[in-house]
Amino acid sequence: MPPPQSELLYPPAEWIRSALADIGGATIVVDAAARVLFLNPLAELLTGWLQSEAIGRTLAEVFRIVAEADRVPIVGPLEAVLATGMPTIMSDHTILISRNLKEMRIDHGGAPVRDESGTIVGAVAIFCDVSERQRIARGVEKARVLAEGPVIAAEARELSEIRYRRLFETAQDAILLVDPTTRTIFDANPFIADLLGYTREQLVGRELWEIGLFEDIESNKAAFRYLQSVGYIRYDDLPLQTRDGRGIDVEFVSNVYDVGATRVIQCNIRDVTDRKRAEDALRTAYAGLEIRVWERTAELATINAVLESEIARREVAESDRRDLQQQLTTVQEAERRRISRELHDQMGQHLTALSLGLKFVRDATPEPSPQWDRLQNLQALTDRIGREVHHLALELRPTALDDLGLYAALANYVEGWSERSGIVIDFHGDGANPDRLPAPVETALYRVIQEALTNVLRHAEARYVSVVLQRSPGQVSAVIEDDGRGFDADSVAEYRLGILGMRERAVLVGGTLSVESGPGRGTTVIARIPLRDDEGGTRRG
Amino acid sequence: MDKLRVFLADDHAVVREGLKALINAQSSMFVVGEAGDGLSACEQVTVLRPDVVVMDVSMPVLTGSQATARLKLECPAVRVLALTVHEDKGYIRQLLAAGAAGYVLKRAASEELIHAIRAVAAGGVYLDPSMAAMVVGGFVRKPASAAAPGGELSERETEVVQQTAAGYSNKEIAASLELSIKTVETYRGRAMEKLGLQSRAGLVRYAVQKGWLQDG
Repeated sequence: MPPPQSELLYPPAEWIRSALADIGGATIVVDAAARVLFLNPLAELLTGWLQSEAIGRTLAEVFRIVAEADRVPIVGPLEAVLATGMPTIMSDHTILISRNLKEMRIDHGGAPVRDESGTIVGAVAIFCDVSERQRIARGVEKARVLAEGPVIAAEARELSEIRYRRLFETAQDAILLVDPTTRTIFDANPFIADLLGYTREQLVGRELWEIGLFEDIESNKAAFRYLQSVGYIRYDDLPLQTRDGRGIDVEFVSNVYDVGATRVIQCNIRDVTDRKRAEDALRTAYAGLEIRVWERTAELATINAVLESEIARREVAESDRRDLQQQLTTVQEAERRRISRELHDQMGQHLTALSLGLKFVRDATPEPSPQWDRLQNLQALTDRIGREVHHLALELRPTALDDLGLYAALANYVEGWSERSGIVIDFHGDGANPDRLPAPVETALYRVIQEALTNVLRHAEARYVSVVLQRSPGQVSAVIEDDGRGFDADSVAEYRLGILGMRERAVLVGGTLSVESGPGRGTTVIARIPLRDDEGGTRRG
Repeated sequence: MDKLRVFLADDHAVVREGLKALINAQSSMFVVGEAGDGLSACEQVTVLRPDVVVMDVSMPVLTGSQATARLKLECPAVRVLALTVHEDKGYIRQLLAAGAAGYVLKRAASEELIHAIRAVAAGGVYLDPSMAAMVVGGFVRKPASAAAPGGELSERETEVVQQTAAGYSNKEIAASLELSIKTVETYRGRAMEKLGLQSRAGLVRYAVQKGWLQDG
């Protein structure tokens, strides 16, 4: 398409500069308020304005044009373009008056500049000096006429005439021949009837606007003026009404040429309704698609936002749950500590007193006698209750955990566990390190180990169990490993609760817990608790 | 022969009563005084100079082990027999370290106390039979041999042992050494056989001895 009719998408500024600087014509770009944004070098030359001086001025100031015939100034040549968004071609003998008052005849046209959304953000005026070209064209034509003269072989002319006629008759484009002076149609090919519904006879003698080709006499005249000065006019897409009132879209191409001394205008009209309809459909489909993409994107964004807020809500809930669980654990441990102490300090003492009393009475009873035996049994029973109370207190919460620390409490616990279960425990911990861990960490690790050993006893059928307590910079870890039958962690539901409990304990003090096992491969439970720099350095007890 | 002079320190009056009755029922010993807290016990003992102090471990003001440590300085001739409800060897070690000549679990007191008082008064040490093995065992630690009886470890076996001792699981070691879990298990099994070890804890001790780990 020739530049004056193309609609430019609004490009980035850099792109404008490099692309427009290279355009053959003189080019001026204005913004939506018709203020100058850009002049290419040719435009600078023709207008006499440097771009740097012209920027921001009104187009009328920089691009002063008048009609050749009456020297009436042509005001706002791009305003129509900005208003309608339709490209224009003006070449009705326009004179450009440069800054230094030099005059020249120009052709000029305008096209809107759109941004990506299709909004008109400016316009571009393209013009060229045609004084020179017209002079040359006329000279060439004169020379041709002089050279060919009337001596061209009549035969050849006749042959050419026949060929042309056949082409004219059979063409699948409508062709009209127009007399440029009267602007009336003097010939039309048969296809015009198919296209417009007018017969050749109905057309001959009429003006183009009468058959709906141009809206009115004025635009008809304007088109003619342009055609005569440029010799060529083309509309890619012109709406047209057929005789029976049907609206069609046509491509309209018009040429001016001389047949001998006579000047003829030939108009070729092609029905592009189907093409246009397809294009429109495509455009609509594309726009529809874009809308759907946009809608879908918006929908996804909404869903995403909902999900994000849901995640945030759950994080808050989870954090609340943790806090609550932490409090619950603290309260529970405190309660266990209290009961455990009570069992030792109250019940334990009373049982001791009871036992001593029984012993006293027994010693005062003659032996052998049923009373003596009875007292002996009662004493044994008291002793058993004492052991049970002690064991209960130990299971609840060993006082050693508070008084002596994790290592001592564990050493004692694993020994008792090993004795009761008959499973060998190999316990290793840094017992020589007198630094106490933070109390919640000690409790957590003690409980994890206790739970892991309970699981070993219930399920593992192990012979050896390792309990390793290790401190390294920034971390303390406990590893409980047995050589038992192991399990498939995913499929054995009964382990899950125990593992969950252990994990909860570790997580509450900021740690992690992992369990590795497999049928026949034993089980390894690893709890790792991070320590702050200032932790693990407190000497207590 | 003079009767043994026994002092009772326990914050539970009912227990003190029981102990007193039991001791005074013996022909060979009697209670010279009693106290309900560690400090008062110390003050009275320095005056009364008994042969044996039966000292409860959990007492207010001064605990049993604190009072024991103080008596050891002020009147070293007095023998202290600790009395405790705690069966944890940690407590017991603490008491022995403070200078107690022996201890009796409260729940066993009715049967063993008299015997224990006599034993410590005679200059001996009395440990509760059910706890003795545990306490002594804790003091004597079996040294694991740093030499590998079954031959030197291969480079891979050494790596696996080092990482196991450092607290990593087989899966983690497999990932770090780019081996399968099965292979790691095999290396570890072979290493344990060579070293004559049966557990992870053994591997940790071996690594500590080798200086591979910074461990207390």
